[in-house]
Amino acid sequence: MAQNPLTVPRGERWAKGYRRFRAQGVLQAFAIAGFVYLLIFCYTPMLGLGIAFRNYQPKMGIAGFFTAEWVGLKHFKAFFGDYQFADIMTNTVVLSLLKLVFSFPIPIIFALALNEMQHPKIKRVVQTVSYLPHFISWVIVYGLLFTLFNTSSGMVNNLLADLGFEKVEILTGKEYYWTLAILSDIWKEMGWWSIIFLAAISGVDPSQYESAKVDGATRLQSIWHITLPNIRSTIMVMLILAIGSLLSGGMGGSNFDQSYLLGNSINYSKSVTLPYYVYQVGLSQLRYSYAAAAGLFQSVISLLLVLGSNYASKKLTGTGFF
Amino acid sequence: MKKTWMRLLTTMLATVLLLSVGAAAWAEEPVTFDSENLTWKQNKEPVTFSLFFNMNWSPVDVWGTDAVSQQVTADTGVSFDVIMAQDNNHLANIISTGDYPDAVFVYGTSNLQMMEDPDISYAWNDLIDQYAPEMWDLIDPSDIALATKEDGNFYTLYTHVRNQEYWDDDTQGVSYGENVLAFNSAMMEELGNPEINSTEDFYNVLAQAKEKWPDCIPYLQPKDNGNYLAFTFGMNGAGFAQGDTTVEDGQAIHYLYDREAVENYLKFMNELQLAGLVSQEGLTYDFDQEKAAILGGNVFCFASQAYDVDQINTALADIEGDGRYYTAIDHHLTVDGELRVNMINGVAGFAGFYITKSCEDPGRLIALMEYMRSPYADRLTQWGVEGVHYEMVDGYPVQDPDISWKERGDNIWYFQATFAVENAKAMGTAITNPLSQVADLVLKYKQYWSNDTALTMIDPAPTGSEEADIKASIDAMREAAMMECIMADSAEACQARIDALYETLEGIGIQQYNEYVNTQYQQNLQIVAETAAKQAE
Repeated sequence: MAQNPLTVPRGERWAKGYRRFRAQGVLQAFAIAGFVYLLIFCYTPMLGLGIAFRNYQPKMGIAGFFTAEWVGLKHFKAFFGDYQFADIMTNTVVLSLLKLVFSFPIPIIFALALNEMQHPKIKRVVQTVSYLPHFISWVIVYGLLFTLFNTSSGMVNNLLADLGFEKVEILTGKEYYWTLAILSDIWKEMGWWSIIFLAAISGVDPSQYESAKVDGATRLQSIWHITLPNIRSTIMVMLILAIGSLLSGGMGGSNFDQSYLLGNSINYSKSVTLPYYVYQVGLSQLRYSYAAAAGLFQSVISLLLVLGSNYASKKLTGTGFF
Repeated sequence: MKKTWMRLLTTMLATVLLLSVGAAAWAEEPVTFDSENLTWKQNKEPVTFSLFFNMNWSPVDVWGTDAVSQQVTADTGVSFDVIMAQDNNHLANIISTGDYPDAVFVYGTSNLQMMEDPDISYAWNDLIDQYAPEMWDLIDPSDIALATKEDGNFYTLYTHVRNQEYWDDDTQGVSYGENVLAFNSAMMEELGNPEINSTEDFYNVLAQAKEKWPDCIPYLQPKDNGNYLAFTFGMNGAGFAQGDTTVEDGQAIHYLYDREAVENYLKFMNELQLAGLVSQEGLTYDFDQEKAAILGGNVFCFASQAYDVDQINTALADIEGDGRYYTAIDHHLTVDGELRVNMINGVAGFAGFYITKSCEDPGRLIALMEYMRSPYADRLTQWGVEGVHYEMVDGYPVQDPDISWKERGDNIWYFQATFAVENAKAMGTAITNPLSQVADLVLKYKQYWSNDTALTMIDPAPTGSEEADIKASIDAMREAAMMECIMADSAEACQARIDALYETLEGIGIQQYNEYVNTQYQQNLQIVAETAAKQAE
């Protein structure tokens, strides 16, 4: 008869647990490393969040996190009352949603297209070329865009002028900023994110495709009825992650870099986003508490988005993180 | 017996008198930088300090690898382990850890403000009293007044100070960073070299250029150092080096509060933009982008620093052969028939050297500052070693172009540099370049400037204060908000945006900021008057 665990003495339970832990030593080491990483780089810095409610000055040191003057919601009120607040939130939310709508499906479509490619060599070349831009920093991307689109010597504008058209202020025109931001984000990240979906597709049982072929299914029908349902959980996980980082710019997390590099004083009203504002007003001007308040606001919204999308995903597809 | 007493008394009195006269004579011997009893000359034992340094443009970030730092060590025994700033927040991060280096040499208002704190830095007045009392005789009291904070201490003496003596000296030009307008010489000749004396003339000549060369950029005004027209319309404080405060009717105000000047400037820029006479994209350019566009070959007129005109002509000469491709005008323009330019010096200096409370031997560093303030060290740290790196020609240093900056190490470790010595180098450079315009320009533009010592003494609002937050909000909005006005698609829209700009400024609290700076300004006026009275005594 099996022994009731509740009746096992506590010392024996500990010893049993320790023996199991030792038996799983290598695997537990990985888990511990991950836990220590999270503890040091994610949880410990959260102690600093308290400065969002205090008047913190750098010279106060770490002790200032706990001893600086308590001001409650002063910095939050200042942030919500800032005359730029509406612009910042509109740009951040709308641009991020647009990135999600346009940038998220494209790696999936690209991965499906690559999967259908019959020539392995061409497939490898296309895949390599497409993910290389991920490793280029946004500073270089801005340099490339400047070389292409500037109005004094840019290739595109020179071509337009040679063809008799007016030059276009692509880099400074407010009306072009969102398009430029979305397209450059897609160009830079499409190939990289398609790797995950390609990996998911490669895990689909080939016999399903063979059966479908025998039943007379077209390639498009195979994609729709076999590939996509099989990678649904991967798509949902990636979607939840993308929504979680929505305010940072979705999967590419590019809102700050783009605002900082592609933004300028002329397109500012369309290019300023929350992460950039935190940097600009908070860190550049050493208003640490104010920056912490704006950053905390962004984190809370992101947390709510993750929880919301996870809940929706579980309800709709049965797939979720937790 | 009485005689003996009298003789003894007389001898004693005579001895006391002689000693007093001797002591007085010794005491009255003036202390100069050549005096043998200077503190820095008494101890030249090798010693190394840690130094935080934020001149990121420097080609050298290791002490002892260039001729200047080697010479300083040979003269004083002092060396540094240098920590170069990685970004704008590096100093704040160091301060927040409390692990300060021995010394900090930084520029930038927020950095200076952070270091001017009794918890972080030693007050120089205390160190001078304790370690180098003769140094008091070597410092101009006006330099001390400029650096003295509300607590009565000064934590540094700023580099590149321009005191009243400098402003009164007509042989001293303004900074070679003076904002100017330069025109393409060949294109101007084709237009018949029209006179450009007013903003109307300026508009007309741009329009002529646009008509004659439709593909050209009539006017390129970059975001940095493109403030010539703003100054022309009477805006002060608009430049990099001019802070944010100016004086209007005896009251210190944020320069944006001078609505008439700002409004006229923005409307004029809007007119240029609507007529297609100013490059929209050019308004966002830094100097490198501006230079690239000009070298591209179709810019009629550009705004820049005086020194940059020489740089651009030199770059063009490398491509196309010698010639003065762009000529800067040597005057400001009138607006509606009147000269409105009104540039007031509002900055105390450039950088500061701070000795932190972590330093265990602050006496050696204050002694080093005594050395650094000498004319010899000033020239060494800004020009290099005489006879090796430069020769004096007509009173100006002319550097050997074959020796690299990295090898010389000038303009890097210039902890107590003066403005006059810096400017002399620019003049020396001009002497060797027959096409140079900078030497002439810095003298011609001096007439538009005035100095207000009380204005230069205004301290920025302390971090965390309401006034500091107001200023931060103004800083965050001004560039984009002004650009909105310039880019408006009609004169009416421009006016509406200007109205909105001023509504926003009022909402942010510009009035409160004005009160803050003006209170200090009025107090400073009294201090300046008292200092002048003491000097007169």
